[in-house]
Amino acid sequence: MTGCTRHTVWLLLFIAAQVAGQPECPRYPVSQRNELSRQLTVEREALAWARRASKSPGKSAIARKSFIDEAIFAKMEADGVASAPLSDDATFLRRVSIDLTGQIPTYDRAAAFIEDPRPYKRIQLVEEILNSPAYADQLTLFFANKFQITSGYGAYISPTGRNLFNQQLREFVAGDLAYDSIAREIIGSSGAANQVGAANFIARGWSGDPIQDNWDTLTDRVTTIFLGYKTECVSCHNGRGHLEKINLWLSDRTRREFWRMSAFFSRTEVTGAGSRVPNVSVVDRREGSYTTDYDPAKPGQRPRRSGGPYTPVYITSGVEPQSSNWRQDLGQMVTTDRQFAKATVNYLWAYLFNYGLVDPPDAWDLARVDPKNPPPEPWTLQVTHPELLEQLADYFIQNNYRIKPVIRLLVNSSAYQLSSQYEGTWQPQFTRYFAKHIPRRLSAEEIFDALQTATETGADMAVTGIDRPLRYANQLPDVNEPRTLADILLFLKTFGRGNWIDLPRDSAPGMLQLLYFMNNKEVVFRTGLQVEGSPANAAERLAASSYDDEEVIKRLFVQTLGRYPTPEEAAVVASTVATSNKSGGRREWVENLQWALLNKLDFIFNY
Amino acid sequence: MRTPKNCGNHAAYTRRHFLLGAASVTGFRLLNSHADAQVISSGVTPRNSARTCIFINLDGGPSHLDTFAPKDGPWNPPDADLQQSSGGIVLAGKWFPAISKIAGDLCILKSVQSWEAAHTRAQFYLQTSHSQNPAFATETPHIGAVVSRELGDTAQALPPFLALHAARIQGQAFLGGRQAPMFVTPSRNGLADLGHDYYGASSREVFERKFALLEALNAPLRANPFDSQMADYGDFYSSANRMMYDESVANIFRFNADDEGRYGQSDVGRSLILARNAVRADNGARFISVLSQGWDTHQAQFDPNNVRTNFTLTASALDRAVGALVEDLRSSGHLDKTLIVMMGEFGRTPGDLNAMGGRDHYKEAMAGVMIGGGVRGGRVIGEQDSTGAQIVTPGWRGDRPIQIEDITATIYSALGIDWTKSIADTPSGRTFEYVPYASTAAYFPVDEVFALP
Repeated sequence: MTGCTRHTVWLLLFIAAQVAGQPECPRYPVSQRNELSRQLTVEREALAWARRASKSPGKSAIARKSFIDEAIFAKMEADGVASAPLSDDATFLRRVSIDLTGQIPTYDRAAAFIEDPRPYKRIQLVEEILNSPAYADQLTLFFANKFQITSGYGAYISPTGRNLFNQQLREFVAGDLAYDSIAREIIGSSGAANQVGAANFIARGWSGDPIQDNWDTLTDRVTTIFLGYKTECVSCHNGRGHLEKINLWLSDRTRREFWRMSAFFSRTEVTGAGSRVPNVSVVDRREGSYTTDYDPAKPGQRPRRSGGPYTPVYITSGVEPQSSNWRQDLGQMVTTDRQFAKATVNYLWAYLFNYGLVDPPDAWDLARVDPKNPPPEPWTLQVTHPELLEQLADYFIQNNYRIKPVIRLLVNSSAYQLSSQYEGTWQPQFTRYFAKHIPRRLSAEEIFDALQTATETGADMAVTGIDRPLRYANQLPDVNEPRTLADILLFLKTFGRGNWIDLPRDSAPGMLQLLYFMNNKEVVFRTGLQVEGSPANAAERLAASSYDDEEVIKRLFVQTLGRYPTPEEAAVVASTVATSNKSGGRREWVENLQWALLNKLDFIFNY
Repeated sequence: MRTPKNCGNHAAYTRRHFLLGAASVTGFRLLNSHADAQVISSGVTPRNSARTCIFINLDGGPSHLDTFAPKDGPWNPPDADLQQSSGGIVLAGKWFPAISKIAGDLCILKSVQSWEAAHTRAQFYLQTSHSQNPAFATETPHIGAVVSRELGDTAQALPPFLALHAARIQGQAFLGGRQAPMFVTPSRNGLADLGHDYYGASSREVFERKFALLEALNAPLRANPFDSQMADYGDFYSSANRMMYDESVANIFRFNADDEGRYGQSDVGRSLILARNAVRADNGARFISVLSQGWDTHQAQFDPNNVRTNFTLTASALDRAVGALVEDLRSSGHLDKTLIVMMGEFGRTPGDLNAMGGRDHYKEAMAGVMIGGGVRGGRVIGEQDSTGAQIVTPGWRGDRPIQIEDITATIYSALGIDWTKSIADTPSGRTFEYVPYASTAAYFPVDEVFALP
């Protein structure tokens, strides 16, 4: 550690100590003080871990910064799996920026970060990002993707209701409010969906007759979104004889157990659906239970139900409701269920590591997660690092179910910061060790936004019912927006945005995507092409600038790919420049280089 | 021969699948690869009578009783006009006038059953010939991807597997990006983005220059991609480039108003025009999946005011398009080498319509049609009872109902593919059988559809 940094750390400690006893201090308002002390905690932890690691010879040279790294690297060591090296600064900056803001870094940001000599710059970067509005954009979309409140679900959800729901998510993320609290609200809210944002979750689960189908759909959505396991299978048939090879825990569940879980919704009704501008209300009766009779003319999607009426019983604990508002009781039970914390931290882990501690993160097998109670042969434990998962759940709960502390811990770990390039021979089973960072294709929104940022062509989009102009695709409240901008809709559709109804988000690379990106004017017009209708763009400005060629090349690389060219790439570009300068001049090669960098393989991956 | 045991709604999966499956609950999702596969076969001789397969997926599950296995009964509208053609083929003149004209080309399979009665699971079965076991579903490829793996030729301009008018179907899964379906929504203007026409007469030349720079910059990463998805995407560059500035490719995706009129101005019609063009161009497409939608007729199926699942509209669109396709392929001499398969994921409830004037899902009996590609037409295989409730005569050497597995084996055989093959080294470690249990001869091609040798 340099003397200067040590000084800074102690100064900050000093300030924190000073302000702790002076809540009224005008120079350091509470928010700033909290931030400082939070930052210091992270730094102190990192220091402690690094020190401990250096005292244990034989351990890998990668610093173990928290219990995450202890668990991840200890397991690799025990099983003789080598880890990838740490990613370099440029890669880390791009990775964490995309994951937590949905945006690639700008030239200024990247250049400053790469040149920044401070040893704790990664931690400081993470703090900056976590406090930025862009973090709220991206994490709001992360949660919005789970709830899928779209006005495309036209008979039940209006643009107003969807905006309200999205705004509520945004406030939850931006304010780092407690997830258990918003979860209870989402499960338990009633009222007019055009006035109560959270009530749109119930409206989204409604589809008409028979009413039991709606309750069942909502039950599956609640277990999937909040608890990490699907229960849809047992809404149609018992697990036995069906699910033995799929999910051990579900193979023991019965349809009756499912109906009892679903009974938590059985006093709920949705009225007023179907008009052109839906104005639905979520209403709870004070009595009633899960009946199994239905209009034979409207049998619905599931086989006939039998017996009943059923009263609610929570599917894992066997607990029954305490009040007459069963739905609110369910919200209480779900959010105090430890599985809620475990599923949530695992969803966050899977999002950042591109592979869950339990994977897929929405398909937990509850009979295969406890190492003290292992599943019978030939089943294996589903969770890769059981103790780590428990520790993360504890951490989440101790932090009052706030998301940001968990994300901070995850992205500050060395495990998250490993390179995607593996130096030895990669074996498929290393995935479960997290021995390298697994790349992912950018989402549709991220590709569009990266294109705007790289070419400096961002333009505002108007969305019905939202006052502020939206600049980035990840700020859109619904996957059917921006409804008036057909070109952007096509762009996002091409890259698999999905529709939040029956077309899932799809991140598989496709050839038509490549044809589109190479040739569509939505991309090509932003590369310096001299043609009517093209927006002012970075390539055009750079070509006309007074920078020398080398500087122009460097800037194009950094603002498009977030890094400097490799010597190999610099040589390729130099020969292009030499040829072009003889024929079309600088304007020509800048345009060609901008286009090539946008179409380069690494542009659409987060690696 | 072993009769496969069918457990509940699901396929004949047994202990073996269970063991192999459970032992390998690892992260195959991320581990796609197209490395040299370890392939096993029990050695059979495929028929090899077709070059291309056009699979018309009747999405939603058409009523066999109202389409290809009609019976006299009070459920028929008064003007249904059932007509007997040669070879025991009966079709309703009201809905299938064009297909009736080509009755001599049809081989109708009436002893077909489905394992599934829910759309998603049954569609998965139809598209992959495998049960939608969630543990393996992400790695199970579409049969078009298997065809692509077997018959793909990277020197050709078009990818082997085309998916027309389908927002989403099961894709290449573990077989990797080269076998990915190319999704195209037919449009009169053709396929967008096949050119880079921003530079007037020198557009192509400028593009080639840009592309050369891109290739040079991409080379190190393409040689050492970070993972298989990146490797797959890397493979698309040369394919995409090959499709550009190639009139034979561009022309496949274009059609004129005349064609559109003859094929009936419908989605299935436009898709079949493209299918015809691709067959005629013969520049790489070997499995063409075409979607025909609107068959999920739970209610008011004969009600003229019903727009979404109006049986008459759906059937008439199909009739016109298929009639035109068969005539066009015949006139250009391609019918004999093009296997056209037409079927849905299951049948619909037999006998009288339900209380809502429609039919619900039904898996005990359904019907499929094969045309061209070595098929001997003007015939019916198997028979159903008087209400379409049960199969009464299998009518083929299997002496049991025809399952999706047998249909798939038939398609593979026609295309010259050994249907008993398995790939042992899948990412999950579970052996992927092209057709489950075909290696033990539990399922096999319905050779009766083909012409005598």
